[in-house]
Amino acid sequence: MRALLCLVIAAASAALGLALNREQSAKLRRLDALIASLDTLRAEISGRLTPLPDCAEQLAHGGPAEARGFYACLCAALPALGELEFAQIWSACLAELELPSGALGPLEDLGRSLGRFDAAAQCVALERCTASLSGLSRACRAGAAQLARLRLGLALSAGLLLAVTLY
Amino acid sequence: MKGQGFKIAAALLPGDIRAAALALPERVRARAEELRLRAGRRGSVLLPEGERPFTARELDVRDLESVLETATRASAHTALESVRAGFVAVGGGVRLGLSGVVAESEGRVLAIRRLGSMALRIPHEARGCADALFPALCEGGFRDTLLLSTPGGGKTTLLRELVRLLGGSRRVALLDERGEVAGAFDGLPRFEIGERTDVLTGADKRRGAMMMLRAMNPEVLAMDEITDAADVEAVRLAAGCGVRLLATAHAASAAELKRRPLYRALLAEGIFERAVEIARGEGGRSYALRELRA
Repeated sequence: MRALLCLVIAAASAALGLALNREQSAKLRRLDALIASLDTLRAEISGRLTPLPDCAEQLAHGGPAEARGFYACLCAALPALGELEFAQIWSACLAELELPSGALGPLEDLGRSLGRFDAAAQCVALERCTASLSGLSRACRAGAAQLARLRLGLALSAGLLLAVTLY
Repeated sequence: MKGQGFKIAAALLPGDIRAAALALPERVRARAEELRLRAGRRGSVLLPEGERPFTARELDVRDLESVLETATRASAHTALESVRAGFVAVGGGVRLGLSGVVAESEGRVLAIRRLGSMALRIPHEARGCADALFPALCEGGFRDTLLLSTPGGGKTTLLRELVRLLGGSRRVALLDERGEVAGAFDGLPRFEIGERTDVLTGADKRRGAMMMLRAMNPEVLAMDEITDAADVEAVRLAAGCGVRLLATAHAASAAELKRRPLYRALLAEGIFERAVEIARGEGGRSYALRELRA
């Protein structure tokens, strides 16, 4: 019975490690989807001068799957314009997203430029943000495999240690 | 649409100012012509008899910036050209006029750098206001007509009504540069403008006139506010194409029109045959039809 309990504890720890890895890769997929959506946003702003609410609507329905929730949140919150500034609405929707650490800063900076200037200036801000996020995504991916093994190993070790102690 | 204009205009205001506007009595809201917002002053409502404050507090620049952000749907890039021209067309025929410190470069307005004041123009649909005038205008066939009044005198309201009446039986092309006449939003007119009326919004009058003449084969070309040389050029172009013209201009009377160089040339060419002078009196507006050609 004790052996079975130890096995369960070790397995649970390993599962925790795997869940942490899955969460991290979900964050990375979300980040990549956001980067792709910013490219669409830039094309719409520079090419067709599309108003931001229409861009958000379009991306909420047809944007990269992992980013749709963010734009849906934006669409739902935009009627509050007048009570809140666009940058505040953008920021509030970002806060609901789970992203790799370091991603929020460039995105919040972008929110302070979107909709405030002419198309060219907004495109510069979008390009700057995309470049920062792409760099972050590359860095995260480079360390991801190593970090995943480390997390799994640590979780498994902790579980085994606990099992041995209890035994 | 009745009463909607005020609600659309009020919806652009920040929370407490909006609440103050919506708390105005219905009889005030129904007669409101504009909401005037100035940094450092209380917000006021413009009525036929004059302005009266409606906010308890003085407004600041952030209030004005918030109104502009809402009016442009947080999309300066979309509205920039019209902001440079000093206005933003909002849905439902509401127009936001802008004033402040302008940033210019090489003779071109880049933006309004610091907002000082705003006027939210509220459209009014006065169905039936031209019922007495319209038969006189159409007697012997509709001829090229100019509608005249001082600013805020009701030119756009009369134009809308005449377009509606003309559009009941003729193909009318309406050049609605600022979206005020048809109150078009996302391409759909919010006001009743006649079964056979086609609306072009956003284009300047010269380009718009050529587009409509080429594409829509109109019998009547209607346009609001001939204010500069480019607008006069649009009228000249259209006049040679065999369509009837209906337009508005800022002037109290035909005599005043003749004193202004911009219109003098237009009148000398005999393009407009008639003018309707709009006068504002105690009992409302009255219309006087004048022959412009001697």
